[in-house]
Formats: sequence, structure tokens, C-alpha cells
Amino acid sequence: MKRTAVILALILVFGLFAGCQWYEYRTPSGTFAHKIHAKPLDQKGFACLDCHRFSKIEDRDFKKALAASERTLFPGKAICHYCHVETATRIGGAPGSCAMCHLDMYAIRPETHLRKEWKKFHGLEAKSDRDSCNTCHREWFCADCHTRRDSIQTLMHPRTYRFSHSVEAQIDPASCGACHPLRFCIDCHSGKQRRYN
Amino acid sequence: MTPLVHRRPGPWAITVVAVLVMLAQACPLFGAEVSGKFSSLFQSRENKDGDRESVLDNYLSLDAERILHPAVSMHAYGKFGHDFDANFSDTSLYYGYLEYRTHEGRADIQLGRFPLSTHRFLTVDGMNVSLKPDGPVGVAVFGGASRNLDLDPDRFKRLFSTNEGTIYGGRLFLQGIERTRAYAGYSWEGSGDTVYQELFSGGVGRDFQSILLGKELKISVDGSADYNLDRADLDKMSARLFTYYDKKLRVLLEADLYDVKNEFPEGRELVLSILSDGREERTFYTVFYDLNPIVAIYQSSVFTRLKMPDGGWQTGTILKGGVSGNFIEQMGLDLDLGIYRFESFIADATGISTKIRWRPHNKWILEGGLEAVSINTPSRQDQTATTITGEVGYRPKPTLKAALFVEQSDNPEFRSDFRTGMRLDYDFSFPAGRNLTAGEGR
Repeated sequence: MKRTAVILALILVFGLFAGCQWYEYRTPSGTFAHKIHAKPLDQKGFACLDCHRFSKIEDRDFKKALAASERTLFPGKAICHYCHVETATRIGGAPGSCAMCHLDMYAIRPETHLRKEWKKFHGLEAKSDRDSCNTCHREWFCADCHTRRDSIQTLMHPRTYRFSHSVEAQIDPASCGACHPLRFCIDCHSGKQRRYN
Repeated sequence: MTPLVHRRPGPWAITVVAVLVMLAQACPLFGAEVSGKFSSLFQSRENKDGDRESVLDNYLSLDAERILHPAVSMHAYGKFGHDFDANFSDTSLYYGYLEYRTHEGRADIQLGRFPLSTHRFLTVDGMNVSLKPDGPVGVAVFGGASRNLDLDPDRFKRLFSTNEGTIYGGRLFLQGIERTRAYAGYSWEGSGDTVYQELFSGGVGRDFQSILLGKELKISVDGSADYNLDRADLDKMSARLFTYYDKKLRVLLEADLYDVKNEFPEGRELVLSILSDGREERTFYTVFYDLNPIVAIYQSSVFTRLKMPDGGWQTGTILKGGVSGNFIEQMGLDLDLGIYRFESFIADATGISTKIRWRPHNKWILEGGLEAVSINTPSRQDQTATTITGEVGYRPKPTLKAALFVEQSDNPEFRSDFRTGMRLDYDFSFPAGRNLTAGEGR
């Protein structure tokens, strides 16, 4: 129980720590730091006007322009992606992680993810081009659904699947084997489950 | 046969998670891009016999990138669960590894417990090295102890148990050739002199793009084969065709042939090798068509032939179809209605599944669902199982969602129960150690 409490506390502290910071500034415009970018941009020959268009405000009052830039002078994703994302122009040291700048990863899903059948077919594309998945997702993203059991969410099988699974297993056992070794069957059918049979 | 060994997640697993969490907190020392997800699910259920089960499951994933060096990162994903009625806790580390990955994965080294996709999905305690040098061919080698995610007999715990075997292998793959894929690989899995499975695998694929009747047509063709060196025969062959036409029609055709015989230890055998002679022939297709931007229909069929131990063949069919509607922009509603039918040599099953999701407000999500399946066997009366669910979700931020749910299940053969609970999903990311609090660093 002590171990349990320690782990719970660690998770809670971590969650609070992450959450409190994050809500303050996790947008592309809010995250941008001139201090970090000044040197590499200067080295690459970029000037202020390459990103910001309203030169008159900046010339007159830099502080005011800076305050305004977060919302009104934010140059847009094309400018950021020029160094951080685009293969042809990306600067080696520029972080490429989407989550580095984007608050809402859901909002920047690629076109393929918007298709209605994406949930059904995503495995096909994942097999074809795993590197593309890794651009935004780590392996845990797959495991988060594929290794959960008995969740309230219907992640892999219908909710009534426990009742009808034997029929499908007799039709297509090769599909069962893609995820389950035989022990998964034996545990239930040998009566090992002590609480739920 | 080597006995199956289960290992409880020891203190080391907890230590790794704790160290990762602390590293994330102490990142001002190192600097890192930290991101991940925390997911918590509490559910309480009462079985028909009056038994009660109250369980809390927490999942935490952590990715800390650019630690010390831009190419170095740490990744972990684990679960902590607690059964309040049994007063029992369980901690599992699903993945936990250190990674060195240079720009665009030119060199990628993983060390620790990591997922590995070879001829099947694996979790390996070991090392994986992938190199993409200049030129059309990349190379990857891996080795370690393979792990299997098992279910504990009381169904609460998840165990990463081992079959006491090791796995190693490698793969050559094509790279940098547009719209073309190819690989050739080798893997050996066994223990001592016992070979569980020794495979030579190969596959090719290509994407085609054209205009047909003035509409865009995309076709992807893939083929692969696993050759079992130990028994000098094919384990699996697969061919797949995916067609995407006019942004409305998607068709997937696939044909697979399995002929598996292996020496996996007891309990680790492939399901196919027990429910048949190890040979299955399967063809299937799925058609998905957008009637309009809101409503889509789909239909899929699976046809199989199984070779039984007595030498005879059994056939089976799975038919599925349905309609999905996306009225999010009109009324915040999306719904799915599906029906299916299984026809096997032991029984037939007919089922229906409906799901509806309504967003009356951008922060509130209401979900409901109904499922029913009826099984017909020659030897006994028809039986039907049903499940009805409801959920109220609240999403104050794009990456934070809390929900209350309720589910009623009636199952004639297994437990019927009524469960209630709540869940919380929270995505986070922050540049720790980069001095990027609001307004600073500018």
C-alpha cells in the first residue's frame, strides 16, 4: 500500500506540475521565444521583417510590438515550419516535435486521419509507412488502445464480444493470433479466472 | 517444452517510472521536450451474484526528448492499477527505453524495453539498431528477450511474461525510392537448442497514382511472405490491394495464406495451430463509400477455409455492413449503425451495434450505445447478449477530458453486470529546462 501511495503521489505531482505550466503558454505563438531564436536566425541571415510585416509599429515601439506580436503579428505556420518541419529547408538543430509548439494535436491531424474509415484502416498505412506515424506518435500511442482490456471504451472488439467470440475464433483463428497467444484462451477456458466466471 | 514463467513487475519497474518522472521535474538541469498522456479510469461493478469490483487503472506515458543531446530521448509507458475490494495493486511497465535518433532517423538506437514490429508485434527487452546511410538500402538489427503481455488469471493484472527465449534478427529495407517499399529480413526465436520459429521474410509494395474518368485514383499494392527455415516451408503469404478513388470510394482487398507449425512453449502456441491443423486460407474485402460529405456506408466480408486435424476442410464467413453519419457541423451529432453475421461450422451469430455521440456544447459530449448479438447453434436454443451504455463527458480544454459512464450488460453465458465509473484523459507537453515560462525568454 505504501508503494501504491508513492506512485499515486508521483503521478499526481507530475500531472499538476505539467498542467500548471502548460496551460499558460502552450500555443505556437505563446511558446515562441525570441531569446532562443535570435542567434540561430541571425546566423542564418533572417531579419525581423522576414517574419513580421508591420514594420512601422516595431520601429516605433519594440515593447508594444512584442506584446502585439503574440496575437496580431504571429507570422503563421509557414514561417515556423520553414525551419522546423519542411524537409528541404529544415535546420538541423531546430526541434521537429509537433507537440513542442502545438497545444492541440487533435486540431492539426493530417487529412488521412479525417477520413471516416481511418479507425478501420489505419493499420494498413501504419504498416506501409511507420516513419510517418512516428512524426507525431510514439509507440505508446498504439499500445494505449491495443493493450487495454475491459475498458469502458470499445477499443478492439464489440462489448458483447465475450459472448460471441468463439464463433469468430472458429472462422478466422489467424486473426486472434495476431494479438493473443494460446494462453489467453486457456486462462478462461480452463477455469483459472477466479473472480469472474 | 520450456515452462512458462511469469515475473511480477519488480521494484525496478517502479524505479524506472519514478526516475523518469523525477527527470521530467529536474529537467532544468538537462533540458528536454517532455510530452505524454495521463489516463485514469475508475469503475465499480456489481455482478449478478452480488460480488462487487472497484478498480482504478492509471496509464502514464512519458516522452522526454532532446535530453543532454538533441538526438537522445527517453520513452516510457506504464500502468498502475488498484483493486479496492481485493486491496491489490499492480504496476506494469509496458515500454521503457532510451533512444538515440539522429536527424530523420539516419541512425536510430533503442535500448531497454521497446516495441518491435517484425513478422509479428513484439515487445523486446534488448536493443534495436537501425541505420539509413546514403543510398537505397537501410539496415536494422535487433536482439533481446521477447516479452508477452498476458492476462493474470484474475484478469486484473497485466503481466509481461517471458517464454525464456531470445529473439534476434535483422532487416534490409529499401529507402528513398518514391512510392516503393521493399524489405528482406531474418529472425530467430528460441531457447538453447529449441527453435520456436526461424523465419526469412520478404515484402514489396508500390503506390500508383493516376486520373480515371477525370477523378483521382490511388492504388497501393503490397505482397509479403514468411518462409520458415526450420521446416523449409512457407508460414504465411499475403497480398493486399488498397484503392482510393475520387476521395469517396475506398476498397481494400486482401488474400492471406497461413500454414503455421511451430515449437513455441506451452501456452505460447499460435491460436491457429490449436483450432486447426495450422492452415488457413482467407480472403476479405472492405468497401467504404461516401454518399455525401455527411453520410458514408461500408461493407466488408471475410471468407475462410480451415484445414482441420482430420484432414477435412471447414469454411466460415463473416459479413459486416453499416452506415455512419457525421452531422457535427449541423447539429453536433455523429452516429454509427452496424450489423454483422458470423457463419461458422459450430454456430452462427447475428449482431447489431449502434453508437451515437452528441455535442450540445463544445465542452460537453454525450454518448450512448446499444449492442446485441444472438447466437444460433444446432444443439440448443438461441441466446442473446445485450449491452447498453451512456457517457457524459466534459472537455474544458482540448487536451483534458473527464467523463462519467454507466453500462448495463446482460450475458446469458458469462457475467451480467451493471457498472459505473469515471475516466480522465489528459495530454500534456512542455519544454522543461528551456526557461520558457510565459513572457520569459523573449
